[in-house]
Amino acid sequence: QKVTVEVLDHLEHLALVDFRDAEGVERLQKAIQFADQLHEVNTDGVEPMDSVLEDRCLYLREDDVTEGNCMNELLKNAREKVEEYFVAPPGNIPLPKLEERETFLQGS
Amino acid sequence: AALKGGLRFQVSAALKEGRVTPTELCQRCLSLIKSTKFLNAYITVAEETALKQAEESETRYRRGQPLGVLDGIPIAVKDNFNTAGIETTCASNMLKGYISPYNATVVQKLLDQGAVLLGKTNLDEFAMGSGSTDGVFGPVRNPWSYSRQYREKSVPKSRSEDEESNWVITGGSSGGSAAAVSSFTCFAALGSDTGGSTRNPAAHCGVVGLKPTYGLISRHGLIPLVNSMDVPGILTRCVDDAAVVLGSLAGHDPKDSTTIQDNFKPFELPNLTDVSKLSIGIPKEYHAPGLSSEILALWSKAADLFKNAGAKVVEVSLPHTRYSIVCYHVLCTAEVASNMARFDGLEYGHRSDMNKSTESMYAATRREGFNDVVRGRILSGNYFLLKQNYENYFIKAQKVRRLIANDFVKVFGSGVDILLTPTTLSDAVPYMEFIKEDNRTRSAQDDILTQAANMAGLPAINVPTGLSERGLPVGLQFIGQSFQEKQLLTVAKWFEKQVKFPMIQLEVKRHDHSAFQHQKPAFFS
Repeated sequence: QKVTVEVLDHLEHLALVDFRDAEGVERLQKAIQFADQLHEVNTDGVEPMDSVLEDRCLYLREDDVTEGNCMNELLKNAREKVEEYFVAPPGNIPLPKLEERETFLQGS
Repeated sequence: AALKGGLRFQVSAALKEGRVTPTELCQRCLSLIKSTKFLNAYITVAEETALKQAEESETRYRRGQPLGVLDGIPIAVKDNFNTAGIETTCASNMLKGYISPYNATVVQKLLDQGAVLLGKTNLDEFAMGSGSTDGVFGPVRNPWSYSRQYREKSVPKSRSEDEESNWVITGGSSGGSAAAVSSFTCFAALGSDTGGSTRNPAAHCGVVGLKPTYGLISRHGLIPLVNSMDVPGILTRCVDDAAVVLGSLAGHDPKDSTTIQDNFKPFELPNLTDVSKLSIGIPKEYHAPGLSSEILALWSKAADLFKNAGAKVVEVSLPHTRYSIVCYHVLCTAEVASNMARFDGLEYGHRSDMNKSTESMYAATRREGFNDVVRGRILSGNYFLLKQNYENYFIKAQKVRRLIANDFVKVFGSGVDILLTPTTLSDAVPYMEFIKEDNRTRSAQDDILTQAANMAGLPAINVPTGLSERGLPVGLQFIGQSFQEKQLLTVAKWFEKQVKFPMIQLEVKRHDHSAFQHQKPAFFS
């Protein structure tokens, strides 16, 4: 059962990483095949486990500000910035459709 | 001698008595790092800050006010822990040049105790891998490749052929840390353990590798892979040292809400003499396909060791063992897909020049920053998290996780105290052989014996046990009950004493040997 190009394209949009080449797609196919072994296990009546600490209460801090004021420190690591702002390119522009994108999937 | 002595208690005593000074110790380690550069264990060596820390430690010792056992002790930290002012790369282009603005809690704790941070060690990119071969700074070489023990057993070839094609991997992903400890360049190192990444290289490099119980040690500042399984790992040359480091790191951290709030009391390990009250479980499923006959024999010998000493040794069953690697594969890739989403070039790390739109900038940045392994896991993870797959893969894996955890609960509930298993399927393979298979296949093979402990959150430790026919280290693993590190380490220490693992006979040319001998600190007359 091969993964369709539509799903591969969808994944590239969601993950914002690309498959790059046939090997990348093959890797996914193998990963799915590997994961399919899970279906051999009978899990009727079994609750999913999120965390091994599920029987304990998560610790919540008091809502007090104890640190911060490190704007300069944090801005140091950003490449594009203006005053106290991180600068992002224009948003709300979706990635181009498969036909218009530079992606290996186009060849499929 | 203090350097090779290894035992922190020996070194600490030497520091206290002034037989060696923190700066001398630091300089020797830095010098040894230079001589062993070909191992590629370190990504960053923080020479200036380390010497400064050593000087400050020296001042404290002269005043008779050392901060504790760790004061002046040179340590190394895996490069996926944030270290203030020092580059933290995770061996990825995505974080090249990233200077952490803060210390991970575990790093801070070590520094607060006066430890001297020598540098950041090499790893697989973003800790994904079991060889320490897939980082952007190249693979780490196992120091045992250059040991007399290994060379004696190798088929004689021309010297250059030997070194270039015969060297073996460290295992991973904390290979740099394991190599650093194994080659005496530091006394302890931090690794991380998500599927075995501390225990696996510990086994291959002949050092102690401790994976603590999930929730015991803070993950704040450890760049996350799988939030529900990651733990900081401890690598040392003996079990006592691991207990000392554990003592300084464990305990609740308000900055990590997944650390338990129970009071943690650091402990000294008793010298166990009577094991008759101990029940050791041997899980039959850990006799996994591909387990080398050598390791099987060693495992059997170890079980006999306990039996002959009066302990109760029973075969037990963890029936879902063979599914744990599949389960891990799904949960790991899913959490990775989520955790890697933060790398978009906006606030830190690599940023692409692509400027057309936010999304295209993100995509280009991630395309340029991540290697194939990381991208592969992100894509797989996203696949398993798709609406149409969520129930069948992600939730399913979470259910299987519970079954795996329950297997352990049942076994420990039946009166078994500690489990004894192999750590790896074989001794370290040559790099040229290792890279013939891809990362995912290798990880799936190599993690098989270690990652169920991560699934269940249990503490586990690799203890170097013996040398293989090829002259390389082989270790065995003890898995303990949640938060029962004292019992686990006590048994491990007893075992370590019985097996008397040989010291590595490293054949390395010392760098500037003459130079350092003349470097006596000015204030010592």
